[in-house]
Amino acid sequence: MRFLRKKQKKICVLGNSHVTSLKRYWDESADQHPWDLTFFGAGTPFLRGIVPQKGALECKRIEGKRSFERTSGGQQVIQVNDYAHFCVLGALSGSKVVGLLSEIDAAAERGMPYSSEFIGHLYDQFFDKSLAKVLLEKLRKVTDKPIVLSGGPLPSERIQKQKYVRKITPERQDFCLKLLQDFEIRMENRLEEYDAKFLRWPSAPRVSGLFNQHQYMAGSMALNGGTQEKYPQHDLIHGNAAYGELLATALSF
Amino acid sequence: MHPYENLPPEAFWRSAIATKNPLNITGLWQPKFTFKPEDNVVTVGSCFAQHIGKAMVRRGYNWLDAEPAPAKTDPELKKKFNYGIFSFRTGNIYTTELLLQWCQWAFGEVKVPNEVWTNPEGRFIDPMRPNIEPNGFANLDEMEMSREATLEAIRRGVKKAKVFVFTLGLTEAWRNIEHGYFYPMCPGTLHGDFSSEKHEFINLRYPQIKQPLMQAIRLLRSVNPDLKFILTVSPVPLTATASGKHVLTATTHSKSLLRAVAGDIADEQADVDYFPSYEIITGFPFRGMFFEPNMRSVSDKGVEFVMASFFEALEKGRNKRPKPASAKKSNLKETSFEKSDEVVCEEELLDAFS
Repeated sequence: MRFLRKKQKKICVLGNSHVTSLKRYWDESADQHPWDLTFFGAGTPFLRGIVPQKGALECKRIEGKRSFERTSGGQQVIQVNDYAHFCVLGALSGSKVVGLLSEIDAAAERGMPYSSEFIGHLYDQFFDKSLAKVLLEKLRKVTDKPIVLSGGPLPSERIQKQKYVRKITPERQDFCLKLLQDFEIRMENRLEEYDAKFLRWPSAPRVSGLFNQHQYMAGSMALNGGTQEKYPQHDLIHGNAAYGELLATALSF
Repeated sequence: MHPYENLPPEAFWRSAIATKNPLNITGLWQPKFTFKPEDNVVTVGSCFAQHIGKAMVRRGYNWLDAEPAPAKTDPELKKKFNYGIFSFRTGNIYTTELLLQWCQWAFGEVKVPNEVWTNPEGRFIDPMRPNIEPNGFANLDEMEMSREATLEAIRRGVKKAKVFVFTLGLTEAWRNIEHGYFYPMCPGTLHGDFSSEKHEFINLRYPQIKQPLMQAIRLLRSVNPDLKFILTVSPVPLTATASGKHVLTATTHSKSLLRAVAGDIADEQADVDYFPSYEIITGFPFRGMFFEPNMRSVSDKGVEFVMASFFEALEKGRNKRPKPASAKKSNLKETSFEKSDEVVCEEELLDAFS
């Protein structure tokens, strides 16, 4: 589904470290598109403290302000009237969603399934505690322009090799995929409360239902105070430019 | 020389009670056996049993949550769906008959009845756990799978447990006339429909309390021969009585029988002990100070005093202090409790009819 039309040129991209996948793609291919993206990226703790001002949003903490300044190319404050659309990226952690779904699956696998109603409440609780809810609430205090929200990417298939991660076997994939689909439906419903759209996780990079092929994660860059540095484990939960291109396509950039 | 000459001070009313500030009354329990903080402890029973599990967690003991919610579930959400209340999601088990019933279902001695209720919204209610989900289940399959999950939790939990704590609550019960199984609540009070042709009231007598409890203990021991038991009697009075008597006399009768059964079994069985939470809360030397103004709910101070007595006696018996909470084993599921956490008490819902 294409949320953004070519006539809407100025788009504000607000989010945590997960903005980097789209930013990396955008930095390489902006000339090919008629849209103008401005990235306001900061660490989750700083974004949670974001403050709505008259016609603006700004981070309370100086680290957040500086991060906005670096990622946007000079602006510490988001002047909402400068933009026609808002895109919130990464404020709903894909890897934490998979963690929750894995716990739900584990209970079912050991013969102690949760009821559908309880699972629905777990999904609601996940959203209610998320950065996504905070940003949507703050945005809606200062603008009624269209908002689309995309969660952080689902984790890399390689995360299953970590000792601390439960292995989801092939027999459990269909069940887990259904859980994810139900989660996405629930998020679509919750975002309607903010007159916002939820962008489902792209299916193209998917493997085993809940994970992304590592080629969409390898070489991801960190948002470290706005600078870009590489960390070995970063790739397990952050997308790279190839993933960014998928996002751009889904968002119709 | 006669037997009374060498008795300890606790054996005499004057030294143990009359000359003491109630809060300094000690030595009420000399445990027959002890257990370590890392030993798995199961708690089931009536409303008061919930306090025991909570206190164990706070104290760093290994309270077994055999049917846990996901780790980061909010305490309020868990409570709403009855996770982390008892070791199994059975809801309150008020009578010994209900305890035996759950054990027999779990270990295959008796088939679970196929009775099912629906609520006005068409959701499915488990007659054996009418309050387990706030809005019932979406369909029959889900209800049956959920109950089977609890039975599986009982099977696994009993095998892992070192100690099984059961709090006896009521003698008054409601039974299905045709098939003989017991309901946790009178049909029609919370959910379902009452029919005098299908449902009958029974006020269990001493043999009818003791025999099922002994049978349950034997069954559980057949699964886990090393399992030890601690029996307690809930000090909480009846919310309502269907006996035709005044609720105070009905309460006294009920609790007296339960106390007698618990005490007799503890005296007869080497691996069964009795912990006197009932005496601490209701005993007149304590002047009713541990009850809330409604003279029914046990105050936080009362729970604290009871559990302090429990752990003091236990640890004295072990002769060492417990390890701090960080030493808990990994099978202790994360459960956080507020100090003034209210208990989930289906029987209390009968108050709506007063």
